[in-house]
Amino acid sequence: MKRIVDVNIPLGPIHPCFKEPVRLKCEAKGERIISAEVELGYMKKGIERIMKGRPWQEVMFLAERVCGICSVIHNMVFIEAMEQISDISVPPRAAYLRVIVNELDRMQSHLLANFSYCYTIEHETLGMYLLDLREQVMDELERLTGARVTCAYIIPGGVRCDIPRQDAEDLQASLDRIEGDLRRYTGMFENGPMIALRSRGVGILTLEAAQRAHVVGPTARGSGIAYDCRQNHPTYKKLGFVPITRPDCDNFARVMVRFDEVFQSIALIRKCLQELPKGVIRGGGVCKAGEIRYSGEAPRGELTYFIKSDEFGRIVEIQIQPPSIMNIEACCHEMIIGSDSIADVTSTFISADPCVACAER
Amino acid sequence: MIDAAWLNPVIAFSIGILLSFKLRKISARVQSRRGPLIWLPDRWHDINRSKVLQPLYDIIKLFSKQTIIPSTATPFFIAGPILALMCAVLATLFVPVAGISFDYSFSLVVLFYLLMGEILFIIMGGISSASLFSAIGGVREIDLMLANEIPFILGTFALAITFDTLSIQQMMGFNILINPFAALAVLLSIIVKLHIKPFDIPEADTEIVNGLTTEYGGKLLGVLETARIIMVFVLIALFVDLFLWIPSSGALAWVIFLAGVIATGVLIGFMNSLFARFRIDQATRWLFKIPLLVSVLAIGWAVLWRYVL
Repeated sequence: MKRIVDVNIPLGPIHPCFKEPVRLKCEAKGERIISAEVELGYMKKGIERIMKGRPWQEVMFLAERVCGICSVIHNMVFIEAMEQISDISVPPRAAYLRVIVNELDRMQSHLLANFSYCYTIEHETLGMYLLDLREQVMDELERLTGARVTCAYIIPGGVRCDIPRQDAEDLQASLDRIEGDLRRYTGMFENGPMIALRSRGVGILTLEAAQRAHVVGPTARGSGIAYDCRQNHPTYKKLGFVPITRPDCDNFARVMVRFDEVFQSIALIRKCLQELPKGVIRGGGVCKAGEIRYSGEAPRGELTYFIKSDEFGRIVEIQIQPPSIMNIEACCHEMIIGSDSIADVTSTFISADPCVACAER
Repeated sequence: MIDAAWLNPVIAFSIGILLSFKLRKISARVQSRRGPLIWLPDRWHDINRSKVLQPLYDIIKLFSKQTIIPSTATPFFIAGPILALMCAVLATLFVPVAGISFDYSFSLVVLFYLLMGEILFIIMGGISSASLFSAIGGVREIDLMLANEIPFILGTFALAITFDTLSIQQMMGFNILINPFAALAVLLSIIVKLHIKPFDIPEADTEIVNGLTTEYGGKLLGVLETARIIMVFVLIALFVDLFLWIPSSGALAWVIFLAGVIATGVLIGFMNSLFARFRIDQATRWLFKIPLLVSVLAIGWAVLWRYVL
């Protein structure tokens, strides 16, 4: 049926504030948004199809390449799923090292997401400061694993390399520095009147709507849903992990949840370094046949792998359910509707931290 | 004898280039980036040159590129930028550069029309490109202009009341002491006219791509950039002339004028990197509240000094 609308505003697939190609089709009356629709499929990789039939040694590297921003968690969930299938136990020292690397990855991902938000509301100065901080976190990741993005640090039965004492001390020192700087920048964000004008009360996603849309990760926790997959992870349980939530339901809450989670990650890494048990970092074991559905908490929310392997450790069937797909849908069906201006559309969309590479894998 | 004021457009363009460099450098340093470099070692000469003239290189690059004109565009698409540049160049003739300019008893009014004309021609050119983003940018620009012209006109007319003239030459002086409210109102509206950070709404690249200039490229964009650089100089020089000028002549006049221009440029550069962007409704509301109040105060202040005390 033919519909007549006031203005049809297409944002994307190439747009200055989107890191990845995605298209938002907004129907507007003046600049007020009446309805919005998201169009994915500009960068489908078909990586699940590539993974099928390959041995786990190859799939492990492919899994990391699903997403460039949160590569460690893809590695971790895939390897832990394989370990669950094959009953491979992990030495305690390796389990703690995994947490350290995973939290460093989460820190850089959250800092990048918050940079994007600051850039979208055009507070470029704060954005640049955050990007500078992210670079320091990336350096720490490189010091620990030898690579900035695709680390391939986690392997079945342990991790690839140990953390020397000197490196642990350096990591502690830079965590102190990063925390001090970030506290200042978070204060700038929290108390900035212009930022509050653009963020508070914008892009509301109520608790009911969030539950209905099954949003995950910081987007859900910004709407008051206290759910985080790390609660169920044995190592995180030992570290006494409690998820962070905020009740405000707006853009400001989502960005602040990410800031708070960076501080939480710093605290977790510190605790890991303090309690780091002595011993081996690699147990060993053989990957076997089996079938499992395993979830872990990615920086953007719950990441699920469904894996079916044969007796030689080959992947027969694999499905990846990334977190961003739910958040993107909820964003364009709940948060964007009723925005006063195009300005709020882009900032709200970015506040949900969409990762198109994950969503289209 | 040719009047020295004919040189004003050239001076405006050259100082405008340096001011644009300054704005970029300041925001880069505030953001802990390097920005365009002032000096480079000789051994880097083949790799990179000194970037003080980077805005000029950008314009030269644009003029060497092909211009693409959308099939939906009307002839105003080409006429808009050229007329805007003409307005900007004409405006430089009426803004005193170190005390040199054409002067009539009504030059302030002529300048108003030229400044407004520049913006209107850019809007005309942008809207005739038939791009959606240009249309939104144009609407935002008009909104902003409607809210912004009032404080600008009231602020300058406060000085006109004080000095009982409409000639810019005759009202030049260190008037920031005589009427600080007028200075504040004019500074705020200059920031809006230059699209400095909280008010870069019409060309918000993260929202509407590039606003009015979305469809422009090549030589026409070069013309627009030249007009923008001249406007940076014109508005800053106008502020210096009206509020920071100390009557003098010869080399001393140049020193005072350039010092004023640099000081105002630095102030605007810092402002550019301190704030997030307003939304258009927030910006107009703010402009109808605070600068309007300040400019009415300025008029009241001027009337008080002239007629009551």
